[in-house]
Amino acid sequence: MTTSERVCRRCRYFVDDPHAVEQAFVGLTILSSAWGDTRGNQGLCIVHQQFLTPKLTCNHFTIRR
Amino acid sequence: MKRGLNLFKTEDYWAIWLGLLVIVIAVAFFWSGSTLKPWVVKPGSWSTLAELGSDFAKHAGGYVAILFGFGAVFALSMKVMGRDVRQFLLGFVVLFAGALAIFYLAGWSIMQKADLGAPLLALLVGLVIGNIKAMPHWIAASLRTEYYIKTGIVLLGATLPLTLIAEAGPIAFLQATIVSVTTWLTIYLAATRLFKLDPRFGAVLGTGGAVCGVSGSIAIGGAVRADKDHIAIGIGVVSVWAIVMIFTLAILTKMMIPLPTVGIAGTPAQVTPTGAWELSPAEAGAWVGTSEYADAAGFAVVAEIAEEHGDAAIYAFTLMKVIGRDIWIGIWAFVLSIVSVVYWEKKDDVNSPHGRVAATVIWERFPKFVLGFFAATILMSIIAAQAPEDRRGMAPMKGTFKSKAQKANYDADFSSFVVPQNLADRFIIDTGSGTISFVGKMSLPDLREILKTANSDQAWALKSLHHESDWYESVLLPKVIDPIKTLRSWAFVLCFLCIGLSTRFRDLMTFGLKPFWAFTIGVIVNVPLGFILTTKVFVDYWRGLQ
Repeated sequence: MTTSERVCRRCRYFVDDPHAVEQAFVGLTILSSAWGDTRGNQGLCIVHQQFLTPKLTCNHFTIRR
Repeated sequence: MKRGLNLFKTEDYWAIWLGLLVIVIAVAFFWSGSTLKPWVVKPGSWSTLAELGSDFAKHAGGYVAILFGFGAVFALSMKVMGRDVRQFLLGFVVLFAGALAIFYLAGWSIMQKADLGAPLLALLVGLVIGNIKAMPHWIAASLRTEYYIKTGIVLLGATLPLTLIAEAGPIAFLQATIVSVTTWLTIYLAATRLFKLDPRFGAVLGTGGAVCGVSGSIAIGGAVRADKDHIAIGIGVVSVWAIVMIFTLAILTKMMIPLPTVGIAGTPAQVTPTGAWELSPAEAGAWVGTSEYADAAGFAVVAEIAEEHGDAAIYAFTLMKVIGRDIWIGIWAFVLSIVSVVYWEKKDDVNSPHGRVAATVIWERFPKFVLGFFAATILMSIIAAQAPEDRRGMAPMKGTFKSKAQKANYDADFSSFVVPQNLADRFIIDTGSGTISFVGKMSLPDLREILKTANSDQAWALKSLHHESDWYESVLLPKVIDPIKTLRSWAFVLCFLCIGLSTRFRDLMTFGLKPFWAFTIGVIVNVPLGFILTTKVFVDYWRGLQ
C-alpha cells in the first residue's frame, strides 16, 4: 500500500458514517446535519478523538476491512 | 464515492432536486392552462369549531396531496442515502400532522390577536414537547431540520427576483463580511487570549458565531483538526444561543417594525420607520441575517415577521445570511486549515494526523443547496420575462377590489370619464360589456395620472385594472408563485417544529463557562454591529428593498 493510500478515509479508526457522526455529536441535528455538504466526508478519528478531513494520515493507520 | 453518486448522497442535492421538481411541476401545470393552487393549501383563519371543521373539510384533499408528495420524495431520498425509510415515513406522518395542527393553531383568532404566527408557535410547541419527553427513534428519524430548511430555501429562490440579488447582493456581501470577520476575531481572541482556550477550539466557536452556526463549527472543526469535545461544546453553545436569539430577535423586531400604510395601488406601502429604533421589514431581515447563527434559526424569525409584513424580511435575510455568509464557508475552511498547520499544531508530535488540506475543500464544504436556490431564481426570472407585450388587462366596472391591505366593493360609471391624452391609445372603456382595459402593463405613474380625474368608485376600478394589467401580479403570481410559497411555508414549519422537538436543553447545557462567555462576548459585539450597519451605514439599501 502506497503512502497516498494510507489515509483516514481508508482507516478502520475513522468514523465517517453520517449516522454514527450524528450519534457522536449530541444536538448536531437540531440546526445542522451530518448528511449535508458542510460536514461532507469529514469524520471522527476514534484514536485521536479529533474531527478530521479524510485525506490525512498517521502512524496508527490500520486498513478498514 | 463516485462523483455521479454524490449528486444523490447528501441532503443538499436532494433539497435541490425536490425544490426544482416542485417548481417544474408548478410551471408545467401553468403552461397546460391549469394551476397547482387547488392542491397546495394551508389552513385559513377560524374562530369557531364549525369554521375549523369546514376549513379542514375543504382542504383535506390538499393536505393528503402535500403529505404524499413531500413524503414520497423525502422517503426516496432517505432510501438512496441509505437510511431507514419505514422509520422516516412513520415519523414524517406524525411530524406533518403536527405541522398541520400548528397551522390551525396559528389560524385561531385568539392566536392572531396574540400576534403569534405559525413559525414561533411551531418552535414553542416543539420545545415544550421535546423537553418534557425525548422523541422516540421513529420520530427522531424524521426530524431533519436542515433538510427541510434547505428545501424551503430552494423554493424561496423561485419567489426572489434575480434583479434583487444583483442589486442588493454586493451590499449584503460587504456588510456580512464586516460582521463575520469582526465577530470571528472577537470570539477567537476572547477564547484564546482571555480564557486561554486552544486556538482550534477558538476557531470552531468563532466560525459557529460568525459564519453558519453548527454547520460552520463542523466544517471548520474538520479543517483545523479540532478535538471531538471542542466540536461537541461548540454545537451546544451555538445551538443554545441560536434558540435564545430566535425569541429575542422575534420580539425585538415585532416591536420595532411600525404598521404599514396603504400604497397608491392598494397594496401595503413600504413601511417608513421614523424613530431611531424603528425598522422596515427588510432592515429587520438584514439585521437578523447578521445576528443569527444558523439558517433555520434565522428563518424562524423572518418567517414570523413575514406573517404580518410580507416577504421583504425573508429576502433581506436570505441575501445577508445565505449569500453573504454561508457560501463562503469553504474559503474559511481552507484559510483556517493553513493557519492551523502553520501556527496551531504541535510540530513535534509525529503520531498526530498530518497532511495538508487541499484547496478543493472550498468546493467540498460549499453548501450545494445554494446552487438550487440560484437555479430556481434564474428559472423563474426567465419565465417572468415571458409576459406577452400586447397583453390587455381587463377589470369590471362593478365588482370588488381586494388586495393584501384593502377590500372594497365598487360600482363605477366611466361614461363621462376623461382619459389622460398620453394614455388614450392604451386605455379602453367598453360600456357595453361593462369593462375597462389597458394595453400592456400599467405603471404606478400611469395609475397616478389616471387617478387624477377619478372619483372613489372609479378609483377602485382603476386599481383593479392596474393589478390585472400586470401579468406577473395577476397571472404568474397566483397560479405559479403562490403555490410554491405555500409549499415553502410547509417546509419552514416542518423545520421549525423539528428544531423544537429535537432540542433538549438538558443534553446541550454540558459546556463550561469559558467557551460560553467567549461566544457571548461575540454576541455582544455582533448584534449591535449588525444593527448599526443595517440602520445607519447601509440603511438606504435595506429601506429600498420591498
